[in-house]
Amino acid sequence: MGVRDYSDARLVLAIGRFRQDALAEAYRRHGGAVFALARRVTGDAEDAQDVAQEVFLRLWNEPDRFDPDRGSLRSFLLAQSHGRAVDAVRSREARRRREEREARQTASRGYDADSEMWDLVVADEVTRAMETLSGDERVAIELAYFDGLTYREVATRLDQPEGTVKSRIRSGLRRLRASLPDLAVRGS
Amino acid sequence: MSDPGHDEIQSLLGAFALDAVDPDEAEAVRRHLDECGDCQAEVDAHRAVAGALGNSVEPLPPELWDRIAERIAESPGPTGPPPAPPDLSEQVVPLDPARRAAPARSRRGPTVVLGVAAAALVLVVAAYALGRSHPASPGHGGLSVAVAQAMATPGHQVVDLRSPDGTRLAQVVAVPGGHWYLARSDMPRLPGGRTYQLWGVIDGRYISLGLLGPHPSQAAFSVGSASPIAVAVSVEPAGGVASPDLPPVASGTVAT
Repeated sequence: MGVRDYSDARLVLAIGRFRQDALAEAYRRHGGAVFALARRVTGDAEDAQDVAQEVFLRLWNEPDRFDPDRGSLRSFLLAQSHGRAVDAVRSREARRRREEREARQTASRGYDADSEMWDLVVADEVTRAMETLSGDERVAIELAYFDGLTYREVATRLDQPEGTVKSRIRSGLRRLRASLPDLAVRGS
Repeated sequence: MSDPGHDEIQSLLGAFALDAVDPDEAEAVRRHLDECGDCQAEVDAHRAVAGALGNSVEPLPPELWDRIAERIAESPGPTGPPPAPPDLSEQVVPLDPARRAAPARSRRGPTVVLGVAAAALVLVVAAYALGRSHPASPGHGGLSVAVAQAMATPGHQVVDLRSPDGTRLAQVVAVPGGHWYLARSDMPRLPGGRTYQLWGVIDGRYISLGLLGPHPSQAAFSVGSASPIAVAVSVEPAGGVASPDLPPVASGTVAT
């Protein structure tokens, strides 16, 4: 059985045993998603490459950090990608560049079509799930997640109390969870 | 910020899962999650939802894998030549052995002679021979190829070397026939004048298997026909010692 047939969990075990082909396979499966999220948050392809590189190097060096009982490898890698992308955005230089770019262009928010049916299904379900949120919840989550703002910054941006924004993010995520029954924990 | 109460932490979990809290709040939440399974589960659930939100896919820049592969070769963890690029189906990732070999040559002295061997197969065979003929000499480029081969050898065994508190500090791959490898090490760099020394427990005694240097990554060594029941690493003066003076910093049991 080749690495192509491995489950994600087995793939990570193999990475822990220095199987570089296993890392390459993890990259093949999830690299596009890791890169896409980093690019969306940072708004910059170079920054996104740095983020994706760090995410996969960390998987290589610390595969034990992934716990299959706590979620899918895709979710894990996306959380890593998001954290690093946000760090990049919050650095002053990156933020300045981002704001310059945003002044020049409208940020593209479209999901890139992916050949994998599952991703298309996810995107579709996510779009519908987002419609179940109140407008305030949706905006708060989008600003926090995709623009990399802290909830305090979101509150300032929306001129709303910090506590309210904090609650809306949490309640919105819970509502999304309820309308995305099993997909959020699904492995690849 | 003083440690907030459970309710205050709970109210932050959504924002925390989206990396949308201030650093001091993040630290407080992390501390709490270490001790609270319920809150950890909530964060995991939020992150899964966030993963679904952020789950789009873009074509990967072809040079990205090259960058990752080069960094793997440089990283303090497992070292060695970069792996072959993944087959990205629609994307062609160029494999340029000459370009990839260049940084490895400049980085690792012993592999200079191997650099002229452009064909990957020659590199594999030569690296394997090099590893075998220089027991316990760390840092050879190409060793990871030998390690990879060892991992593919039927009957091989991976031995975790753990510190007394249970932290995995290194791994040894034991291959039938007595050619063993230090495959991975997270042991910290030692100050000048010290070296890590590798030991096998054979017939109830510590027998030196070789010096690993102050900052080992990978090494090949031979145990001959002996069957160590355990492997251990100690910190010793640079020239090594005949028998270990101090308790091992890491050890592991070999299954028989």
